[in-house]
Amino acid sequence: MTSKFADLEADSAAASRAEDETLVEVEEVSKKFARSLRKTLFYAVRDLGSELTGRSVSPVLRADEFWALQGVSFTLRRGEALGIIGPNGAGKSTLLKIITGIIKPTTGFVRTRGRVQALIELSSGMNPTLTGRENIYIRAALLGMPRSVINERFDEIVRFAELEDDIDMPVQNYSSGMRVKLGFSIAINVDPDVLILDEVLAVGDQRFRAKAREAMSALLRRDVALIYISHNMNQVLSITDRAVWLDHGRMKEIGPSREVCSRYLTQQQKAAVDQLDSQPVPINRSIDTFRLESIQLSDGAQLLPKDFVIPSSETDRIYDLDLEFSVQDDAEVDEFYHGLFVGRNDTEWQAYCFIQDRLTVRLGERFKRRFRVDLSQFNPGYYQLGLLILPEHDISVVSFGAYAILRFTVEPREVLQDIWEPGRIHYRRMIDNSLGANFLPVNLQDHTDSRPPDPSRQRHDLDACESVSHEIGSPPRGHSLGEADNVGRMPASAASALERHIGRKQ
Amino acid sequence: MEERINSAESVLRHPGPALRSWWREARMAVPLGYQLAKRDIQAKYRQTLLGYIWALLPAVATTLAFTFMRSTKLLNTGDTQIPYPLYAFLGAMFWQLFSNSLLQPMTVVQASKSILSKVQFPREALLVSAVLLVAIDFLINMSVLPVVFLAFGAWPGWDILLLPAIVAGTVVAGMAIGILLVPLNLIFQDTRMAVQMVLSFMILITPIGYVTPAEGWLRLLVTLNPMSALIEAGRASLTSLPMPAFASWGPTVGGSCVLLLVALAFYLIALPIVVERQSA
Repeated sequence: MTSKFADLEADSAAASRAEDETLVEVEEVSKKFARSLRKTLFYAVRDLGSELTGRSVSPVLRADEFWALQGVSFTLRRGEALGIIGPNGAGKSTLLKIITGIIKPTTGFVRTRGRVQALIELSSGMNPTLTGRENIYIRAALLGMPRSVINERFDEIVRFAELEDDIDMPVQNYSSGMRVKLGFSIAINVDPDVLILDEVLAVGDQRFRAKAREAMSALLRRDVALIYISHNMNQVLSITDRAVWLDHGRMKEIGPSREVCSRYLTQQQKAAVDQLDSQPVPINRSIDTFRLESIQLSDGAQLLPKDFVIPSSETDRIYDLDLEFSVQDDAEVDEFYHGLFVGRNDTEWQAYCFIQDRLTVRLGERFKRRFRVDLSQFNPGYYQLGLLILPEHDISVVSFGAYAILRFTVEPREVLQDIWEPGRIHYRRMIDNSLGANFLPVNLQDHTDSRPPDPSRQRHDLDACESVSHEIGSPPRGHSLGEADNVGRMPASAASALERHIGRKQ
Repeated sequence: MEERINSAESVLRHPGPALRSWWREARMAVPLGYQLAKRDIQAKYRQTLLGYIWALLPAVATTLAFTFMRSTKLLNTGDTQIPYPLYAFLGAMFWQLFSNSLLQPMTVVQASKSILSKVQFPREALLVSAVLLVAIDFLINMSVLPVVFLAFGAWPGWDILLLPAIVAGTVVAGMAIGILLVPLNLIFQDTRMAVQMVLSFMILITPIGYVTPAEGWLRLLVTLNPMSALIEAGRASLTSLPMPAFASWGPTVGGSCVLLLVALAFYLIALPIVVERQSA
């Protein structure tokens, strides 16, 4: 009886504490800005006038104004991490500045409790001619830390930033990565109650990012409330529990990070698709020895569209990509490299795989290739898959090249602890001696026909295609992976040719 | 736990919480302002050849210019009663104290634009730092005075006891106007330039290198200039010159104190509104 009563009491105490522990309360916050500088300055004088006469700024748009934020509300408790996502110009940074009190909202209010530390730009407030040591004192003072405490924490700040040897060097001689490390290290060491990080880990090496994430988890365990803003969904997913999706200043969604990020990515994909040509994009310098006649993708059970989604549940799925080419030019070569590459846009690529292929081609002939690819191993994001065919005797020539043969979205999923960058592939698939990531367990079927083209031959090809599908069916995995090891090793010269042909590696 | 509210409502509607948070911040602002001033001084003189001598040079240059004009009869200075270079140097020193106090807040805030738009910290700290920068400058000038007194064989009398009040009054007068202009200067950067122009005219109607004439339109202009009497009082406190009547410079100090309070409130209210227009 007594214990039950005690429980009840404890419960209500916990409940009231939890209620007290709301550290950030954002209520119907809106903010308007003017587009042109002249108007901005003119309105600044007017707004100043209304502030000084005790009136509020009118919540109606004046000429040339727009809503940078509109009706944003949420709360954040101790130990919670909230992600804020959205495209550029969605109002993320404006929201941060209102939460920290740097600027006033046009309507609504923000209530914060405790020490709010925001890192809107890590290196801001650093004086380049002063040393790292002097900058630590200034920055920590800016963040409200008493000098005695800075003295106490100084060594820890320097150690975490890994700047033991350079702390007495002027900050202007630091690399941008070093500045970021210093800024982050100060921020986590000033005992914030609410920590706001705005795209702070966009620079810095991977090892430091992992360390930084560890430090953020430690802060969360110590009951700090964290607001994390990033374009990197993996970072948002791995750090935050809930996410707010801002779009044109409005709160489009708020909820569990996994769901919000997933829907955000899907929407981003749609926007990207709307912009891109729906046809494969030819690569410059392709001399078009071959023409791509048909593309067919299946996941083993059914055909898929050329723009498809790999759901969160798919983590180990082989896709069959069947391509049919026609020969446009008589070529006396018999060895080709087939390169598949995956990237986030036309100029950056994250992974590729090369397959050496024996093939004798003559004008007018058709041939088919089947690539068996596991695309589900990519980290969440939107990707395009391109193909490059290079003759072995002269890899400076592109026999066929196209971006965006396929487009796919990988939905948010659990990612391995130590990898949380976009476009990286899970470790278990990486083969150490390959250049770039070898993402393709491939089973390649050579299927050429040297007879002159005629209607019956076309039919034959179609039949062949079917028979190929039957032949391969679902081969034992060991076999397919073994082959991948063989074909995945590509000559370094081919890798550099790829780099030349399709742009830079991200 | 400290609670803050950032609301759309005008601060004047509910001044209570705003005043409380300003007071809380003001205590934090002093150590922070000290850090900022230290940073500015370190950064300012680190890459210079002459270093702290630069604090001294403006007053010395003004003195040299006046002495030159006097010796070439370009300027009718009147009877200064004390060695002329000393007269001009002390005048220039107090003028520099005033004009520094006026310009320094604008300079400091303008230079801190990028942290203003990215870091939330007590905004009063920038003003504390401005005061400290002005003080350092003045102290460097003061530190050479014993040598100057020795060189000219002229020493201050008991009026020196009034010096702290006069110095404080001059700083308050400059700061009050300067702080009032800070938000405007963030919106229109030509504010500071315009102020400099006005100052270069004002220096002519302030008795720095000449004695206030007994009659004529210049006497009228000098008397109308509220800084004239204050600067004469400052000079008198450090020499054997007669101290001007309190009634001539007291009102300037009193008015400046009131203006300073208004300027502080204006600065704290206006800054968030102005900072959002800064793209830095």
